[in-house]
Amino acid sequence: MRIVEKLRVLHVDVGGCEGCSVSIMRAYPRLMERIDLDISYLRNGDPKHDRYDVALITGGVCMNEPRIAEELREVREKAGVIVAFGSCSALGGILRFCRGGQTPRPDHRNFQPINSVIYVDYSIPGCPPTPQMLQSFFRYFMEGKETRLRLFRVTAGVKKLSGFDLIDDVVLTGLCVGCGACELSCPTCAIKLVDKRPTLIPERCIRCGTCYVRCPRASQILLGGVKK
Amino acid sequence: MGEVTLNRVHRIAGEAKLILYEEDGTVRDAMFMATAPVRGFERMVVGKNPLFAVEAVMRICGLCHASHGIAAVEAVEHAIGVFPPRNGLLMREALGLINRAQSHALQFLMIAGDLIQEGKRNEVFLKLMEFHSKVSDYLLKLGGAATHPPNLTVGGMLRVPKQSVFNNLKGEFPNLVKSWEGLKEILLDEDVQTGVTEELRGVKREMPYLASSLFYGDRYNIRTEEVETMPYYEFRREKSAVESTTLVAFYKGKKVETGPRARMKTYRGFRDSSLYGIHLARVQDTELSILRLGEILDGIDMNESFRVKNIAFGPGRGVGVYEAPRGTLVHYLELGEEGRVLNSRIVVPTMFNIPAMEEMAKGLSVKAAETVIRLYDPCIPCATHVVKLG
Amino acid sequence: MTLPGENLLGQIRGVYLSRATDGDILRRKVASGGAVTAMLLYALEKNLVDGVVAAKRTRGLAGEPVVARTREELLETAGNSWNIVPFEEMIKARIEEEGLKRVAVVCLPCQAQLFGQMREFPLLEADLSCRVRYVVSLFCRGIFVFGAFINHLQIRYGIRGEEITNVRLGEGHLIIQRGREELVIPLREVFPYLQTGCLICSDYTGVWSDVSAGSVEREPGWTLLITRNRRGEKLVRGAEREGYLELRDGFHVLEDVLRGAKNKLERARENMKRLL
Repeated sequence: MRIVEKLRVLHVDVGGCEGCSVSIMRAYPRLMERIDLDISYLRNGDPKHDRYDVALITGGVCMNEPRIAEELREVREKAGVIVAFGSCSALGGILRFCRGGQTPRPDHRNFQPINSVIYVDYSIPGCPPTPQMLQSFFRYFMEGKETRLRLFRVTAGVKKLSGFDLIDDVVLTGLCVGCGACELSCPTCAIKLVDKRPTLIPERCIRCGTCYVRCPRASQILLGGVKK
Repeated sequence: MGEVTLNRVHRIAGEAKLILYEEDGTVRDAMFMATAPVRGFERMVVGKNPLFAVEAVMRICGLCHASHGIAAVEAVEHAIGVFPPRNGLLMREALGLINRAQSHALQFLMIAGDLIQEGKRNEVFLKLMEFHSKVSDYLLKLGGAATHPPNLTVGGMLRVPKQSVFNNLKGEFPNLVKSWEGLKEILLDEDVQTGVTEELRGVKREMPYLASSLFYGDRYNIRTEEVETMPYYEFRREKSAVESTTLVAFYKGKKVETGPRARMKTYRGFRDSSLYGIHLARVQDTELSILRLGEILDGIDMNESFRVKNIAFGPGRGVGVYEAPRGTLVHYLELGEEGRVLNSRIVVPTMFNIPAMEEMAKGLSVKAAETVIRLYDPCIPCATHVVKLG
Repeated sequence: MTLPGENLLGQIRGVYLSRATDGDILRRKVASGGAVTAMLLYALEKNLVDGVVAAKRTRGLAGEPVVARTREELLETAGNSWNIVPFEEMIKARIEEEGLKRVAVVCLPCQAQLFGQMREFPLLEADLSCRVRYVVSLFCRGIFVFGAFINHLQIRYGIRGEEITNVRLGEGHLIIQRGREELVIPLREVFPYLQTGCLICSDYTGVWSDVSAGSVEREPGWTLLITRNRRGEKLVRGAEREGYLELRDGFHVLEDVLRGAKNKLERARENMKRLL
């Protein structure tokens, strides 16, 4: 019998809320047989290896703190595949609203998704994405079923998605068929279906982009490469 | 005097640096500095609708999300003079307690690397994650998500689960308790603990405590106007302190400890004054939150309302005080014309605890000092997103 | 399995022409072989699922989502879907309320995509998606903006929505049935009443489903089933084994389905150019 080596996976948080890290921890018991996860919650000291197959990155990049971009570039060198896990890392998410001015570091004012700094292979939005999501991701990834992961592949090329984009691209253009996927996927209940069309409650939208990825029409726009 | 620097303290929530000044293996002084970037949530919410503020501040932290949500809605309600109905408050309390259990479970996981022998750690990890997923399911069903629960909102609950959901959760409850009991046994099992616990048991040390309630939080039990904050680099004049991206807080001009031990000492006559007592208090804190959760599930009356009607935002000032997993959390909020946020200030428990844990580390071995830091469960995402009070 | 546009029909494991063996089902069915109903009846009676979520026609063409837990309830949902029922949020409430652990969902391709993706990659809806056992998708050329279509029928032909007993699709035309009367309308005439979103949709069969089902002109009285994975294959085969379904090979009519899919894709491409 062939002994299959476990996938080496590194987790790096560049400044998020830890919600995505917890999601990764929750996914780990069921992944343990197939992946070897290096995460600061479980280790003593520095990362264990020099090379990793996959790096999961959580949190958005503070552009005013050059060491973070530097750290990301180092991770890019070390890892074969980079996965932006969670909305902040993938699309900016709530950090899109940051504008600095806060003590003790008023200069920390601009946060970007990690694809503003390095090339990203897959982006998985969600605030936070569920543990099951990560388990599925690794299953398809390890089986090499790339077509199933294409949506996340194309999302990696996009820098901003939100309820506002969904309304602009799908609802206001009349493409919405009223299936209700967006309402169900919104983590803040910011979308309500009125007369079978989504209505955005703007003050609740945190720009996580989950609805956009979930919408059958919007995901088609993404896959068609129309959205940049 | 020697210096031990940990550039990245592992097994804590977030990014921080620890410097220990030691002499012959005994720590004389410690500096704990959060280094995560400041995302600036208090500035972010200015000019926005309070509903956005609630969603946003929940995202300060992925560990104590519901706690921030509760403190924020309390502050908004205080500012506009709204009182949620009994069901709304009970549900909110339940969400907070579930969040407390979730957060403590992760702390137990991180501290296991210090307190529990290596051979046993994997078992503890799996048991903890099993418990975590069981308790998270309660938040998913009641709060709408296992992290950042969206049902938590101004005036009560945004959506209410169906009666059958409550019944299912009640039916599951004995399993949750059982899962916790198995976990508790192993967390307190002296036979599988490391040598460092011995040292921690031997050191008795206390500080003034800050706690506002056993389960929920009460703005009238503490004097919120006597909370002061300052940047870490003003608190510690050492050169390296400038790296810190956090503030520290004091109550009535003093360093105070807040969190599980403070709650147990203030409201439960908890006797253990050793540093290990912090761990014991957290175990008790978790147990009590689960028991109280069971009580709340039985106490909800489905025929009563869950949210107050006619909520109108207008100018006003409010304070929300909530007992977060790590201690007393205070949200100060001012709403301006049209009820938009004019000013927001947040003081989190870790800001009180940073000076406390630096104090506690003194006189310990390097290993024990590092463990003490983890015993206080510093939460970096929270601590780096706060403005100076002044 | 592939996504729309890459491979028109998605992953295919088996293609069958099938028909319900149950007389009750066949009597209620008009257009096809009642295979979907029979297959789900099998799943329900053999305890593979606790409930079936489907659209039930309430009045005329209007529909609402229901959870069928018994044979009778399921039979009432039999028939084609002409109106999208935005049932996601409602399904969630229903499933939670009734404490269902495993459900089968009968839906349109766009909804199958949602349920399929949700099941494979739950972003937030993990709680709901782990309960979706089977996704059965019906072939779809697009659905109407309900109110507008009914309004058209009323103004032009004097047919009120609630009088319509059935709608069938023929080659290039739509057959509206009112009691014993049949009205044949060219498809061209009803196109403007399709949902705009459907005009750019390229998924004819529902590539994210476990089983896709629809009818083909050449084999009246039979339902064409496409199974896409082991789960779907087992469902169809099981239903046959237990005598709920009559099956025969259907590969010879696959080209008809492919033609339908190609038409939809072409339409989608053209419209995408115009609309996006």
